[in-house]
Amino acid sequence: MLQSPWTLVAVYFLVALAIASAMAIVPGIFTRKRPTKSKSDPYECGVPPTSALIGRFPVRFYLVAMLFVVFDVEAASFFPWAVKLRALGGFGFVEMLTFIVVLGVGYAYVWKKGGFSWR
Amino acid sequence: MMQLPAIDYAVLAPLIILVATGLLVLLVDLVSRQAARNVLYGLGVAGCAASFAASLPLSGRTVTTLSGAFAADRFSWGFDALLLLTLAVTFLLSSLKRAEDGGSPGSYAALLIFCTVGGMIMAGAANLIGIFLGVELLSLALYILAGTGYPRQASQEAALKYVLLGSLASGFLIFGSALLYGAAGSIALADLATAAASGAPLFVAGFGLWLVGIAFKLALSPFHTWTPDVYEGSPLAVTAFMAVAVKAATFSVLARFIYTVFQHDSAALIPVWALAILSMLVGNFGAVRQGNLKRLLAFSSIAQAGYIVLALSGVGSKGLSTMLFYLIAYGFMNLGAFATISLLGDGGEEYVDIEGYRGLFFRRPWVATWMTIFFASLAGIPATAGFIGKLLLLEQALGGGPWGIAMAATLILGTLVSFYVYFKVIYQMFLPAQGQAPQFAGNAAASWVAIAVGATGVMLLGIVPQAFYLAQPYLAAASR
Amino acid sequence: MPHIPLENYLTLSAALFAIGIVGFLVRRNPITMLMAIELMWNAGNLAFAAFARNFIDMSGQIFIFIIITVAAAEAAIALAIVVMVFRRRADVDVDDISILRG
Repeated sequence: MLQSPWTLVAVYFLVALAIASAMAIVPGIFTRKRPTKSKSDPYECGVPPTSALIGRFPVRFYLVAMLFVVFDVEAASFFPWAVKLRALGGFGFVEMLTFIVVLGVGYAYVWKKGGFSWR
Repeated sequence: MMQLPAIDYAVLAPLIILVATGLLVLLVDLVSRQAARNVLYGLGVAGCAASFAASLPLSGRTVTTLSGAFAADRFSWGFDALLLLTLAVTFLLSSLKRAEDGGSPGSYAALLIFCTVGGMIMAGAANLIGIFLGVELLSLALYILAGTGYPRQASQEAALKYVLLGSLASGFLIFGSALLYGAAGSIALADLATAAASGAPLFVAGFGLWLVGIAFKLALSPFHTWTPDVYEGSPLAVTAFMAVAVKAATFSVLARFIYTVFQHDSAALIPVWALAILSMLVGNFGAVRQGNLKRLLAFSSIAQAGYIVLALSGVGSKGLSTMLFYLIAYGFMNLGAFATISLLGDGGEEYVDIEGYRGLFFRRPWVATWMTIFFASLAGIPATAGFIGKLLLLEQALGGGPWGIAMAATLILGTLVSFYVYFKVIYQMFLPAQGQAPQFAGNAAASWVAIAVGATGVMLLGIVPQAFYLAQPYLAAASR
Repeated sequence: MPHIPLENYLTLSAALFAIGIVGFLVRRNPITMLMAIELMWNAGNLAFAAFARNFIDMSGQIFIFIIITVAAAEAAIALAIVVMVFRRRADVDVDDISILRG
């Protein structure tokens, strides 16, 4: 077990984790905290912030993620069909084609309506 | 070659046609750069007509297909017809309100169509998967539709509340279905009957959870709290569709379940009767203090849901006829009432403040007259559809033992309260007009057609009820 | 493989379901509430799987398949609605969403 190359990887991972945690935690123990108003401003250089700290962030990630979730899970329906493809015969094939066409219309709709465009 | 279930395409034809229409609407919306809203909606109405034509040969049959998963019988046929009519009227109402389809008439129309497909699946579902699939198809599309008036903040809120509480209800439905499956070893409703007779704890727990899910969707009190908000926030046409189609489809599920699984005097049904009594009280007394017409109609729909449960309480299949009759009457009254509201207000604004109806009779006499008729029918004035419906319900409940009698008494009490509620609105309309006349939307032909459909229905059902009373609605694979 | 009795699965799924309900009621962030709902749905899935294995019956597994598919669609729709509400206001808390009072 000790000879396995993965042992080194594991040790490396643990050491990295330990060092990173130490670097994050140890300074916090030794520093003295004396915050003043100007120190805790968002910009320490003195420029007054012009907008709320928690701003808007692009929603397009959500759009892609939502579309992915839907089409991803629909793809799961293919697996049982693929396993039993021969037993299901022509009927199963036509049935799955219908399924794909219905899915395809949805896909085409999303595409044409700009669901995938990175605005 | 494995054994494949036989598929009776004639039975599925109405559904297939409707799905194809939905896809076609989406494609037309894609291909033409700016397809006219009326073209898309007209396509939807044509799809309704085609689907109804395909369902006509089914009206006398009692068959199941897909290994017994989907039933086509007189009962489901009646519901299919009602749902298709509701869809067509909703398209008519939608063509008026410019802002209310979220600026995307193609997806709006397609979603309405898929909603109806879900409702029709529910009407024919003979196993737990079918029920779940239908409920979800209906609900998922409606969550979006509730939010299509999204420039209004209320519509956004309606969508959010609906999706959160609706998914919660689906959670109950799923877990209940799982326990029912565990108790019976099968998902077919017909097989659940043996488990019901044994009264196994697993079955009782499963039915309880399943019922919570269904009661949420039906807006039976105490699971009604989402209803006023969602009705108020949704676009008017969607609210009309929601009020009629969701209620009808979900009641078809409840009726098929109860008639297939339980004997009529089963103790497991007592919670259903309790929900009905509570709904009648909460709906009618809650409506008293509403100043917003859509909220008032929401509380009215809660009370009506309570009334309709009475149809399930008696012995024999007459209850199914009564339920279908009342739901058809309810559909006509509600669609008519919403159609009259849609003629008021200007542009995207909805005219739902009851105070604003003061003097309406002198400004828009015809609108006020029709609205009076629809409200009188909702209250249950003789010679209207609502009156006959309530008589039939009472007759059914009086044959249902002590709980039936308790429900009948509550119905009478609730009706008395609802007289006050509806006549408060009617009274406002006939008061002398005050102040500046508000800007009303033009005379949209589509809304007048919708009103005509509703009015004809209410009158016909009130005067010649026999014509709409679907006698002997056999259930495929029912035990009683 | 050691045999795990049906009761254990059911206990777990009931616990998951209960956690889901509590999570829904306690949390006020719609995303967290949706996660709680997802938990309830999956509790149902687990119960279905346990029963399906117990009965050696496929219909329970088919049900799971359908639930998973529907859950994906539901999650996408719910997130889309949350994003729609989110675009109009800085933070999302169901207590602030109160133009409509039920």
